[in-house]
Amino acid sequence: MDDRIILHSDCNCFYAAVEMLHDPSLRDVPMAVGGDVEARHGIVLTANYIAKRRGVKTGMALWQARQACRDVVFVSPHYDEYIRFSGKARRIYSDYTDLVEPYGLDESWLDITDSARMLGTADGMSIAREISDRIRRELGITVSIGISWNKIFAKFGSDYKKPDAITRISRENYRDILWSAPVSDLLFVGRRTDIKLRKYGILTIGDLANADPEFLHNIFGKIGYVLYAFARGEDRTPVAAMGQCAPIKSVGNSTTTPRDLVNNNDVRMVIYLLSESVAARLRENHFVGDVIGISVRDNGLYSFTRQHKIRIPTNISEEIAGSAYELFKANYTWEHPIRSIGVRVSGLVPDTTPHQTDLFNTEALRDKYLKADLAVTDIRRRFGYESVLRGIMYFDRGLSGLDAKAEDHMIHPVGYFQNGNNVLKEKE
Amino acid sequence: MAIRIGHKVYVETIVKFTDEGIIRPLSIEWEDGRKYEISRVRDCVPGASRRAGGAGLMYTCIVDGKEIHLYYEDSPSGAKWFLESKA
Repeated sequence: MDDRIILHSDCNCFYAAVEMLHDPSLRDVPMAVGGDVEARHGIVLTANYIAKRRGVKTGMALWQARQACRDVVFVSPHYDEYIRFSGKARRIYSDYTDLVEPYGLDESWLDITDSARMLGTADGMSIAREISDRIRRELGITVSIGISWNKIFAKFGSDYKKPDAITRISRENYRDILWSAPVSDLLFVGRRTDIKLRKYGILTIGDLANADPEFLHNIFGKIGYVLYAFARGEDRTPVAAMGQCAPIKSVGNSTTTPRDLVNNNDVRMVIYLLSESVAARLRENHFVGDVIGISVRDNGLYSFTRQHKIRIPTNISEEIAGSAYELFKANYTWEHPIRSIGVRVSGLVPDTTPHQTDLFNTEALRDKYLKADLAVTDIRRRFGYESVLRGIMYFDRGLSGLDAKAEDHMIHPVGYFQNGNNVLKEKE
Repeated sequence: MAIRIGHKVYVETIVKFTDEGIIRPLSIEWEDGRKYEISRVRDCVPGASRRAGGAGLMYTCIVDGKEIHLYYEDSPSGAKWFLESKA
């Protein structure tokens, strides 16, 4: 079988690029797109190249970024604009193939194996050039594109040279280009994996590709085979077709609070706030879930997550908040004040799935809670979020006033590995 | 009237929607209040203006015998029309 032709297109400094397009005065200064400084959830989401060269990195707290680069300009994010530009980019991609798989807002894989010949190109280079030109002309931003026969190498290619570049990783050159690169440049080799690999003297992707797969299996388990296959270009994961969105795996919501939380009552208030938003979004997406999880970060460095399974899958805020609060009380001893907290529901099934009802007639109560939730959601839809609040929120309106729904809410898709990666099956 | 932000000038635009769903700008009002008729639309393609700072649909229009680019910015905060200012 002939090799596939896969492109990975990555918008350079996407958020920053969109901001710089709209405000030309930001183009020649170090700038970073980051959260709201006042409300304390300030981290750098993206920085432009000037700021990056001066040491500003994605994920830094805004004050750290300021330390690295005194004159950095912070811009609040405009997600609706990023979604608009992301949509425009995807429409361009879809002119070349229907196999477009987004990886976040700013990256996509394209499988152009079948369309490449039709469009008169053997190696995908001319299509990559055309896409790159069109993004610049039509969107006013730039992309880096990697071309290869598998998704992992294509992704490596788009990271290899930035900005505004095209890198082809072919059967002829991959040993030279890829194998000499540090192993952490490979997709899915995170910090921990990197440390582990280094311990065994595996420093480059080439080292990984030439390691004994059984040895890797012994260290990492199943994922050892996967990493080995990735390094050798044997990944055969297909590029998902357009509109075939990854199924939702969990619904969660977290927030950094305007002030540190110092007692159980504070935490309970925020947990209720988050749970209401999570429950509302579960209902919007017609899910119920039976695994309730919390994440807690204190004002030092310590953070942890805990989860537990409940008996009946739920989308009711009272039940989610109740479980989350129990989980919190059982796992936190108040050594430090808390800076951020999150609630998440997973183990999702459609809300039409039948469940075993409780013998002792809690169903009537559950029904009441659900009806109350639905009524509150409807009132808020008509009259605004603040029109109806739980009594507990009045302990501290500064704390409960944060808009849980508008912030950082996450719907987590099922990851890369669940998505038809057949490397595992072959090796097992 | 028009609003200027750097080289980007948002202009009031009179537009015709045809029964086939085609959008055609008919006239624009410049900063000084003068109205200009668009005698012909030569082209309409997706396009960005780096100079003005914006992206959307770029209409190549003939105004007073001269060719100008009029941009339709389908921004989530409200769709607007803008021109790139030379000054």
